Order: sequence, then C-alpha cells, then structure tokens
Amino acid sequence: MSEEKIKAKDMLNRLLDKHYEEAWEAKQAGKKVGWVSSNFPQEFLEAMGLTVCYPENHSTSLSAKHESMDMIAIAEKLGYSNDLCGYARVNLGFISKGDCESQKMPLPDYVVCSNNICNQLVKWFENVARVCDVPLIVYDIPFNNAYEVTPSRMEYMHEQIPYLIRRLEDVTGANWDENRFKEVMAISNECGKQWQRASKYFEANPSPMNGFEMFNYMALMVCARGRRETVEAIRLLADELEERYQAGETSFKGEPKYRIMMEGIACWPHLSHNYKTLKNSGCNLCGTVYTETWGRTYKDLDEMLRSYSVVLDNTNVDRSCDRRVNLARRAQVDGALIHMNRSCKAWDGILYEMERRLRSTLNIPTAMYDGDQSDPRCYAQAQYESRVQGLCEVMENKKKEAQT
Amino acid sequence: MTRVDKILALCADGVRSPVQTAAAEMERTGKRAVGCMLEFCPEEIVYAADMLPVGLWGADIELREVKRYFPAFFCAPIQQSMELALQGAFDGVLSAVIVPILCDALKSAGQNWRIAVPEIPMIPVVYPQNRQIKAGQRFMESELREVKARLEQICGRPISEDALNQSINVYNEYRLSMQEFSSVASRHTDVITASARHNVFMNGFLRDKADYTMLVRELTSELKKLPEVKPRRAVALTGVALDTERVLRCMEENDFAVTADMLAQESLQVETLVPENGSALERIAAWWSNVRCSSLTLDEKKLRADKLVEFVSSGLADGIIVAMPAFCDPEEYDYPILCEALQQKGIAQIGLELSGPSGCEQACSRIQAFAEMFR
Repeated sequence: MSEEKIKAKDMLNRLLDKHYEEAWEAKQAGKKVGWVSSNFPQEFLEAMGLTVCYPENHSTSLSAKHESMDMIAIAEKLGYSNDLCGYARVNLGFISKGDCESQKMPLPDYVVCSNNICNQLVKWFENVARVCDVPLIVYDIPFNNAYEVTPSRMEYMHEQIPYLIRRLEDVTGANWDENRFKEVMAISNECGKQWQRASKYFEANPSPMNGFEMFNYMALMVCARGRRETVEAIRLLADELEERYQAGETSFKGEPKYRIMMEGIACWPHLSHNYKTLKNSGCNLCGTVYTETWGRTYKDLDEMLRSYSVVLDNTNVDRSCDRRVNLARRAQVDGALIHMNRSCKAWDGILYEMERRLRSTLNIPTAMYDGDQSDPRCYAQAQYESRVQGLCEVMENKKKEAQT
Repeated sequence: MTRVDKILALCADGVRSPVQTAAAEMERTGKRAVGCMLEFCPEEIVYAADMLPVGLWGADIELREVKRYFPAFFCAPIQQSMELALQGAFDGVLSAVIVPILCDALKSAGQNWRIAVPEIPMIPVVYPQNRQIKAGQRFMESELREVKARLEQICGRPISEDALNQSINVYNEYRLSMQEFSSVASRHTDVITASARHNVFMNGFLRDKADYTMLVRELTSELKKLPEVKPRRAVALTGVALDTERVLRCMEENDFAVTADMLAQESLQVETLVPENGSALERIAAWWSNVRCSSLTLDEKKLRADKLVEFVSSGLADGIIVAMPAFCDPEEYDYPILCEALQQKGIAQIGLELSGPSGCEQACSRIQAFAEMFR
C-alpha cells in the first residue's frame, strides 16, 4: 500500500473511469449493458448485478468537455427541436453518430427509466428504445401534487416492484437476490450519509471549499451510489472538507465576499466562465438543491421509495420552495443565482414562483440568467456577467445596511 | 339554408367564442361548468356531478399576466388558458378546473394555477405510465376517486355509482356518434371542410354531451343523403390540435381535406370507448389503459407511426400533417420518429408548430409548399 495519501478527487476520477471500463468489458464479454435514468432506484439494478450506464452523466460529460454541440447538431438534423432537453439531444445525436471523442459509452441492450425527474425522460428513453430496437422498462414514480407522498402513490410504487423485477429478469437473464438488495440498501444509505456529511461542509460558514467542486462528485453519486468504493470516495471527500474546515482553510481561490446559492442544473458548457465570473466577484457557491438531492438515507423499503418520490421536480411548488428556503437558511447565503435552463421545463415552469418565495421569505436578492445544461448557444457571457454584477451590488448594499 | 348548413353554422359560432358558448350552455341547461385543460380529462365524473365539462385549449390572446409564471418558451395553449384565467375570462363561468398531469408543462400548469387563480379551484389528476398493469390501473382509480371527492365538495352532493355509469353511457354514445361522423365526413369533404370538421369536434368540448350527440347524429344522417366526393388532396392529421382558423382556411384554399385524424383534441378523444366491466371508476381507469397512439401515453414501440402509415396505405389519406403546439415536448420527441417511418414508405408529411393565430404565417407557408408536393 502506498504511503502517499490518496485524494478524494483522484479516487473520483479512478472510479468514474472504472465505471465506463466495466461497461465496455461487459459489452465485449457479450453481457447486456443497460442505460438508466439518474434518479432511478439503482438499488434494484445493483442488487441484480446489472451493468448499466447513465446517459445523463454521459451528456453532462460531453457538455462540460465542449463536445455537446456536435451531438446536438446531429440530433437537430434528425428533426429534434432545439426546444428539447439538451441532454436528450446530445444523447440522441451520440446514438446516431455511434461515437464521441472524450467519453466513450457502449450503446444499450435495454433501457430503464423513471419519471421522477421529469416526463421528458420517458419520451427520450422511448426514442432510445425505438432507435436502438431494445426493450424499455419504466418504473413509474408519479408526480406529487400534495406536499406529502400520498398512500396511493406509495402503494403504486410498491405494487410495481414485482413487475419491475420480472421484466429485468426477462430482459437481462439475471436473478433477483433479496439478501443482496438489503446489502445494497445498506451501502447506499452509508453513501447518502457520507454525502450529507460532505454537504454539511459545502454549506458551512466559513466555507472550506470552492463550491463548484461538489459538481464533480455528483457524477459518482449518479452512477455508483450503491457501491462500497463510492462510500469510501465520498467519505474521503467529507474527511478532506472537515480537515480544511477545522484548519480554517478553503480551496476557494478568490476573496470570499458573498455566499450564494445556485438554483438549477449547472450550465455545463460554460461552467468555467460561470466559475471565473463568480470567483472574480468574490462569490462562493455554498449551496444548491441540485447536489443536496443525492444525500438520500432511509430506514426501510418504504422510506427508500418515498425518498425517490420526493426528488427535485417531483414535488409540489410549496415543497419545492421550502426546500430552497431551508437550504438558503442553512447555508446562510447572501443571495441566489438562478439558472433559467432552457432544457428543463419541469424546473423552469415554477422557477419564477420559487424566486418570488426566496425573495419574500428570506429578503435576499436574486438574479436570473439564461443558459442551458448542454446547448452552448443559449448562454451569453455578457448577460451572465451583468447579472452577477447586479446581484453583487445588491448583496453589498444589504451588507452595508446591516452594518449600519 | 339546409339543415347541414345550419348545424355547421351553429358549430362555427360555438368555436368563435368558446367561453361565451359554454356560458350560454350553462344558462340553457342550468348546470355549473368545470374547465378541463387540454387532453384526456375524466369528463365523465364532471358530467355525473351534473356539471358541464368545458375544454380549455387556449385562445388567440396577448400574453401579459402569465409571464409572471412561465418563461416565453412554454407550452402555448397552457399559457393562453392561464392568461384567460388571469384576465378574469372564466370568472362566473368555471367552478373548478381539472389539470391532467400528462407532461412536465401540465405539472407546473397545475401548480401555478393553484397560486395564480385561487378563486377557481384546481383539481389535478396524475396519469400512470404503467397503465397496462393492475398496479397502474389501481393508481388511476385512486386518482379518479380524488377527482370525484373534490367535485362532490364543489357541487355539494355525492356522485352516485348510477350517475357515473349513466355518464359513461352518455360519453360512449357521444364517442360512437363522433366516430361515425368522422368516417362519413371523410366522404363529404366538399361540405365538411377542414374548418367544419374541426368545429364539429370542438363543440363537443363546449356543449352538453347528451344533447350534442343528438345534433351530431342528425348532422351525420343528413350528410349521408348527399353525394360522396373524393378530395383533391386528402390528409390525415396527428398531434395535439389543429385549431387555428387561419391555418385551417389556408388548408382549404390549397384544396386540402381532412379525411382522418389522430389529434388529441379530436379522434383520440373519441376513438376508445369506456369498457363494460367493473365499477364506474375502474371502467374509466381501464379506458385510460386502452388509449393508444398519443404522444402522452407510454409507447415503447411508437405504434403511432405504424397507424399513420396505415392511414395512407389503406387509401384513407394521401399525406400526413403533424400539428404541434409551440414548445410541446411530447410531440417534439415523436416527430423525428414519425418522419422517419413515413419517409421510409415514401409518404408526404409536414410538421406545423402552432402558437395561435398571431404566429401562423409560417404554418401557412409550409402548407402551400406541401400542396406543391402533391402535384
């Protein structure tokens, strides 16, 4: 064993590489490889030992590595509207091209999805199933109009499990293993706990980190949160943050003047510009519901299903607003920067109301900018800079007012 | 003026001002009205509560107030319907509105309505994706029970099983009458033009179903007496709705006749009958599991594409028009798949993105270009 202490970031990169390597190995060995939506209850798949990839992760990766536009152009040429989810367009373009430069991913032998993130996912995966001529399995997690998950929703999610398992067994040839399922639940829980630990330091004041770092680790939480090695990677992250916090250190490079929360999926094609603009303005990212959502813990199957039901965008507007307000309070933010993400209708449809509630409940300033999670054309650097500048001016004035 | 002309004139009047038509129908029948937003609301329960279900499909209206709730790139008919509500167009007309949660836009439509229009109670209904398994049907039934309970509060009395079954009968009769109308109308496209056809379907959302069924039957029977014609350019429509007067007129000017459709606003509403067995709510839940060929129902094989091909291969239509409201993602996902399937069979098609009468010039240009393809 090496004397040199491994860093969480290295472990993260190693595990992400391993994730894709395993998928390719399985493909080459003639095993079936599935594609899965990010907030699907992965516990079921991990318990059956299935090898799966996550197209949302893949599209994120291509978007951050400036490869999304090539794929989007292909998808739009096929007739997909520029109105549709950028991740979907990147993925459908990737399928058509069959290859990419930065992060190669095997094509699916089956696709599995849930609609707790959005209904577009079902349409997207329906198209993948048709284009790749593979089976589609949907685990339906219905939208919550009420604040709490109703008993009928819980029953429906429970009652679908035998159907889900039967279909997975039929399609993949793998067998259901109840004991392994319990084991995976325990591992996933531990992973959620470590993520919560890390998130506590992400939100801590003073902040021990440049908040953008949290985005990197999300990829692992999406694709491998039922694995022991992920628990270790996230534990390492939380330990590093704890250490820095105790020592009064931070990885934020600029002068931390303002603590902000970010609302919406990251604008991956322009993340570097986002980060630099904020850093140069003295804004550190100290909270986002986007990363918070992966801190999932539960005691039993009932709680596990409920946790998948109340993910972002599957809750009613009151619960969605409370989630933001609570985070803003916890993280003691001075303001909120809101991404009107052209891709995400499920999010955008209540974004104005969420902004109003944040302002009225907490009396903090907010600024909204236009962008997209994958489509680089939807973003203007000048608009972003001016919105951040405006936000900083109001945050500054509020600070002065508070001092007097 | 023949009886056919009179019925078609009545339908044209009804569509010209849908809210006024619904209000007049309320006065005529003495019933209260409940708005049913876009596709597939459980209207049978509203009707069983002795109230009038009124379809909300947007309108040609300048968007002002609604901009506080939705970004510009959001489903056009949802924005238009909510703008109408915010401007008070439904005051004194609607006692409630049902919002079917069938897509992401409808999720936030329901949530925003609850906040922005509190005086008109919003009743959501979430439709299961896995509607063909028992679990999905049971969930659908539980959602319908919720709708029933909310409507009982609003109308102030219980809705009996008998009333529900009677309402289902009325709706099934209406569906059968519209199926027959659609079939007969395709042979009389000189009289049942694209606009007239749309108007007949649309009035079904605005009038008492039992009375309107009689009127549709009368119209169909009168049509049967007329000589049949073969249109110069027969098209089948698919998508959500093709309800813009200017676009429909443009189709007529270019000799297009509608001989079949799979529009959510038209044939998809009437194509599937509520089945016989079980309690009334079980029957409505089973109906949902039988609905086919909609962009809003889970369809891993995209059978909708095959059905469109069948329209043409069976000689019912010569080409296909896909009508999508602006910013309608379920339709936008299906469109490339439909295009490919039609292209493989050499079938002419166009896609129209419709955002209401003010933005229909592009659609008209496409229709003119489409006409050239038929020469």
